[in-house]
Amino acid sequence: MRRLPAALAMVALTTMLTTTVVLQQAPAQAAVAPDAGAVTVTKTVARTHLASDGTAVEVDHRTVTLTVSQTNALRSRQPVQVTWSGARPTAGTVGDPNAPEARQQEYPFVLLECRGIDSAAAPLAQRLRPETCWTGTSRERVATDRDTGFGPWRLDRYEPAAARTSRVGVPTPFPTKCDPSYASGERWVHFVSAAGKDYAADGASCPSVPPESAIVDNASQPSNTTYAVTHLDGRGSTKFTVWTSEDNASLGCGGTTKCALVAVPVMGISCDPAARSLPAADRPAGDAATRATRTCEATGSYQPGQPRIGGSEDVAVSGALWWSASNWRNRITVPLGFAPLNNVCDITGGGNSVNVYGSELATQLTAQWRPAFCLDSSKTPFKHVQLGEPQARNLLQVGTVQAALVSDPPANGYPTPTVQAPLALTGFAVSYVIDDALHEPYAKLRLTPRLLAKLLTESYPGITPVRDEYPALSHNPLDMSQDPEFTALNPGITVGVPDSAAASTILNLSSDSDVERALTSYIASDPDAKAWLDGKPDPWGMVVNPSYTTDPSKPGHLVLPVDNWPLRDSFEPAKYDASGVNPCLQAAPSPILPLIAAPTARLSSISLAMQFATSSAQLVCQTVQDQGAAGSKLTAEGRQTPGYRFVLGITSLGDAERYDLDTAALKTTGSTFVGPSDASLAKAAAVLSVDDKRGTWSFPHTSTTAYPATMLLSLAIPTTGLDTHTAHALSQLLTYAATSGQTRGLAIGQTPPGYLPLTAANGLGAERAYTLAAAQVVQAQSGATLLPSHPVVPAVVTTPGAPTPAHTPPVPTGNAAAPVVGPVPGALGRTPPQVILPTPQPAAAVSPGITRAVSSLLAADLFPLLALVSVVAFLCSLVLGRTRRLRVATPGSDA
Amino acid sequence: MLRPALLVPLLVGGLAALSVSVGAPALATASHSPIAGSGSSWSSNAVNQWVADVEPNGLQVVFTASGSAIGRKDFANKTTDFAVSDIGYQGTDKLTGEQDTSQGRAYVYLPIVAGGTAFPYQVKVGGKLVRNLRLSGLTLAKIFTNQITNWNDPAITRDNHGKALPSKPIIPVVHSEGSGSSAQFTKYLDTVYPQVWRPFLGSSGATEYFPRKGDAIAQNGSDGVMNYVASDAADGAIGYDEFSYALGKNFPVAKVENAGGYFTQPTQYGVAVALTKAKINTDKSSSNYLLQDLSQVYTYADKRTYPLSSYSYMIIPTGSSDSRMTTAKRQTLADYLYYSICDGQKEMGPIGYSPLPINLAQASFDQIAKLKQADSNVDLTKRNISTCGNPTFIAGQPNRNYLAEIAPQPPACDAVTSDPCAAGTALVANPTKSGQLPSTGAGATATGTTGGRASTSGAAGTAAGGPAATGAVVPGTATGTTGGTPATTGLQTQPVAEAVPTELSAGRRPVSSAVLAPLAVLLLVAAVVAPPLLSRRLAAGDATTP
Repeated sequence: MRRLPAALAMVALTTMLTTTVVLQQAPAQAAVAPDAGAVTVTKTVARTHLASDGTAVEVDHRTVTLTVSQTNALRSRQPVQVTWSGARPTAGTVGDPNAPEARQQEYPFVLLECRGIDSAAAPLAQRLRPETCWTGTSRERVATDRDTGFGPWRLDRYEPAAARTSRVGVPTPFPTKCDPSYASGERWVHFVSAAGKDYAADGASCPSVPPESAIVDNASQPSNTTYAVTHLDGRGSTKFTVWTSEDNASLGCGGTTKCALVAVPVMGISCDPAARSLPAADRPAGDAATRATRTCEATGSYQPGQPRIGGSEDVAVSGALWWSASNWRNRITVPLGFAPLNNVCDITGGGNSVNVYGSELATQLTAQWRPAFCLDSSKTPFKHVQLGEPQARNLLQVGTVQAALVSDPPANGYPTPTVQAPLALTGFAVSYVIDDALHEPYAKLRLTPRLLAKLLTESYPGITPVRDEYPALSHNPLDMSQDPEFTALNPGITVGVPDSAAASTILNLSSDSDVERALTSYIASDPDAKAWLDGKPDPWGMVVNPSYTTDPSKPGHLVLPVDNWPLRDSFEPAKYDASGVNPCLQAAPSPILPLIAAPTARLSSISLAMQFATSSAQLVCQTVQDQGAAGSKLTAEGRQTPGYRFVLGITSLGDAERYDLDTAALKTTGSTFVGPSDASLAKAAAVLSVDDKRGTWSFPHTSTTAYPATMLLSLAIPTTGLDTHTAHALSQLLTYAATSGQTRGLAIGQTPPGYLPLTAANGLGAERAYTLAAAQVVQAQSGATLLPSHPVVPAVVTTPGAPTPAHTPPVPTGNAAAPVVGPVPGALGRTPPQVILPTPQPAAAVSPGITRAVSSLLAADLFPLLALVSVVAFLCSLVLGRTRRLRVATPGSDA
Repeated sequence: MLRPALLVPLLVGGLAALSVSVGAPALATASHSPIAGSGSSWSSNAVNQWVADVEPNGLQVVFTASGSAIGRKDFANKTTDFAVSDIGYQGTDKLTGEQDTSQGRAYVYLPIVAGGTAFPYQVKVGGKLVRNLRLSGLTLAKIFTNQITNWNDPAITRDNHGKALPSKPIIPVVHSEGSGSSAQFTKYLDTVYPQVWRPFLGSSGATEYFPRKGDAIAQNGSDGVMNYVASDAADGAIGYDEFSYALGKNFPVAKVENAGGYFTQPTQYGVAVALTKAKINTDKSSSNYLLQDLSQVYTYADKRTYPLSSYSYMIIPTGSSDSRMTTAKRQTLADYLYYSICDGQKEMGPIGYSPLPINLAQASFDQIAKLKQADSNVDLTKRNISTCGNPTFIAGQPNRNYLAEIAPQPPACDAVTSDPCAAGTALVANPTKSGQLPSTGAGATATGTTGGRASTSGAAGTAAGGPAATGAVVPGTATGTTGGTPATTGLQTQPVAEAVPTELSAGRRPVSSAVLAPLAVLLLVAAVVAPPLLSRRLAAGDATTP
């Protein structure tokens, strides 16, 4: 007995020695910040009963190795990958490891976020203990035994005597709102908030819980308490979502408050039924002793790997007792480090902010830049209103908004002089959650444009009634997991999945988007995909859904690329509908493949679906308030079961990095597969081709090393007509974007992973020079535009009284026709501007001067003239419009 | 023997240096805690935009667009911290008989945004989308009650000044979930066309559960309705939802006839004008305090008005002993609402809603103050009307709505007596300079004169793209533009080259010189008065043109 502490010390020492802190080097995820701080810990855990003669009887021991993918610079709602091996396989498994019911599994691998320092030396208020660990519900911290009154926790040999009495932690006075029948043997494990509030002791309600608990009701934000499954080989893995005080103030992690990820590999209670050291009242006797001992020493009522079928688990080995001394001593504690909190802006301080509208590709970037603006009184804060790029572009063109985040320029150029200044090189990702044959997340998915085309065109039947009744698709694989093209590329994934509907599609945008254009351009640029879309079967005989054929000889054929993926299939499985298997479809038959595709309006919704492996296929018939079929509706399938997941979605690269989503490597123009990383984005930067006509750079699908889904993110701003406040604010934003904003990192004001900074080293020096120059012409508002090949700020002749072409009212045509001022002869040798053109331009490109803020004064002087011109022009246009009406007045196209 | 010493926790991981922020900036003073709400998908594009906006302010708000009915139910069950609903608690739902109360949870309503219920439709002629359809309220009523079932119905032809659509069955698409947009639409039907609506419903009143009958299709949520209406299977479909959903897809919505004899779209101006006729319950003792009576909105004869305009509401808990609420949560709710009804209103026009008028923003402030009454630790310092960046504000005149005052007149071609306007290239919300706080004097005037930037950009060349990229509606709104050139070919399905946009070039510049002010005023008057007159005369001339 004396030797026990020594043994423990040995274990602790071993643990510390085997603890390794490794900088993550994962090649496919090179965009992850270099200071991620992956941690691997190994520990031996055991279940050892105490026989009545005082000898220790070891029932089981395991050596568990735990790896956490990131422990530094964690942000709000950051998922980290947790993997382990050597643990006891879980029995009586349930689908959702975050559901409170998951605690009833036998031998789960419990993951908790706990506040404090895991050291006996720490003062109690700062010490990590079960009371500082978060659970979504109070049920996960209360145990009762109404049989013998001696639940396994009372026989726990490692509990101190005081914790083995009949009622432990039960608040006094007993909360009036609690069921008094709880009053047999019971144990309460209180939760103590960061502010020091003890929740179980607060009798206001029963059970008393911190306010964040109820968030668990919201399906989109499940609790991060995880009762994960260890598979038969002792391995397991899961994503664990770390919360900061922004997400959970009661837990309160981040800032100066230390927290840790605590893994409890549940081994079961180490029982001491004799309880010799305890007073008689705490020793079970007679028949009760027999039953209590049997309960405590039970080893599980389910076979390892067997799914739970309701009730009757052995509580002594269940996750519900994660807090018991026997389990708690087996814990592995991994301290977490947090990025600076972003919640720094004063809610009352945004009054004079400017809005930029557009691309969701920019969301993570603008979220990290915005605090830098509200913290600096010399800068005007900005907001990013998220809209599809085409919508933002339209709004910019008609003057409703002053700045649009876009990737592409308008098809016909901007109607007024406009700069389109690059902010970062980013793109979209094909994110996914797919479990392999071992029920582990598959981390190296490879996809071809043809596979993407198959998913988008609804060419997999998805469900058997469609395969059986829809001749056009009847010979195609049911879903992608059964497609030989897919399995050849991705060995190790089970052929056939429970949710074949979700595996037959990819969650995509329903609104207009530059992302859709980039996606469909990528598909259309691939000869194999194009041939297949044109109607040529793939080598295994799979054919395109005829509704989506791009065969030019077919009437109404699809023409790629598109801004908006159409839902073209209209097949209804009549027999299935009539069968009543799905009462909703029986009552109101509807084309079924669009219901499976179920595209959504926002990229952020797709990223949420990928975080929680949610199938959006609208196939579940839900009865509304018991009104029968008339009151029924189709809803989404919802979260998939871990181990059997198969969902894909189009997300932004920024979201994929932010939420640690797995992303597919995509086939390039060669036969290589390239995933998103700083390196593969830099390769894309190297092949960007300047396109002066469109006023931007284009990404050709010609490289075998560039990430194929790369997109250049730009901010389009008119260079005439903005008021000085807006012009100045937007100019500041561009300057920031081209300078301090381009530091890679997770701190406020930096460029987060998923966006390749605009630097010469990344091959984006010319883009950066453009943005710097754009800041000046936006400030000047003199109607100038810039050539991407030659982003030189125009000189302004400042001879008083002499209007210059730069101040002429702009001609509403494309960029090419707008007043573009090239390098001024003889400008060499004048004071060079701050603009540095690092790479491609010869010395002649040095900009000659800075536009002065003279334009608005001139404009003011010219106002009467302009006004007069305007009125005349307006009247002319009315007349012209009338004339045109007469000219186009041809009969009959109204059918 | 089993001493507590045995419980010495194992120190693992070596307590690696934590990368705590270096020089972390001071946090915002008030402490916040995440809040969760659910409800209206009609207003969810607005609510979720605000959610994204306030993240740097340390506010974590989760909103699930599960429909107004579920939103109110979640709130009553205390599973959420707020609800968003387009209607108040109903007592009993007409269709389901379901009890609809807060189950004793103390609450107040406050309006958060205005908008228009739009009617996206898909009618293809010669393989191309018709984009300039006009429908009267009566026609809409008969379509959604399955009385008008074909697009060649004489009533539709009449709405479009004699321009007939080909024979094509109409597929009405309704919401299957308990939806605020259904409530908004059926309230309109019940008020304006009871003789059409009530026999169909089998009783009187509005319902959030639109009864699906006949060939109508029911789809779940706004995404579901829009996906269906836009799908190839749905040639002939027409649905209903908040305008923002159609904008995001650049999908055509019907212009709806108002009592002034014009067909309009739910731009922020059309909605703002309409809602000047909303009767807001101002009886603070009423359980329906601040709720809307829209009966005069529906029948308002201003020709700029969009008749199916309405407000959406948030329901917030005001009980001082509300078990779900804490100081930090009330603070989050108060700050989120402060942002939403002030600064957050600026972006509403561009994304397809209409900002709250200032008198309702003021009333909302009074409701927010109840969070502090429930809990005196809530900090409302500086969160008041004087710091409010609401774009409808006219300093010192809280009962006037700036947007409604600068709302442009519709182009002549939107008149009942005219052929429909031609289709433009893109559906764009509010194609004018807008969303700006009117500053003072000349500044406001200058903004007013710029109502006229035309929305026409190279209509001829929409080359690539799918079928949806052809001719589009020019949201004919702007005073002083030629954007709304009347078409003479009825339901135009070809892209039409549009007139040259006229630009009042100086308009957007800050014109401060006093010399310019009178001229600007003159311009404004000319710009507002002249075009309708001219257009009308021109239109009148056209009517006789063969």
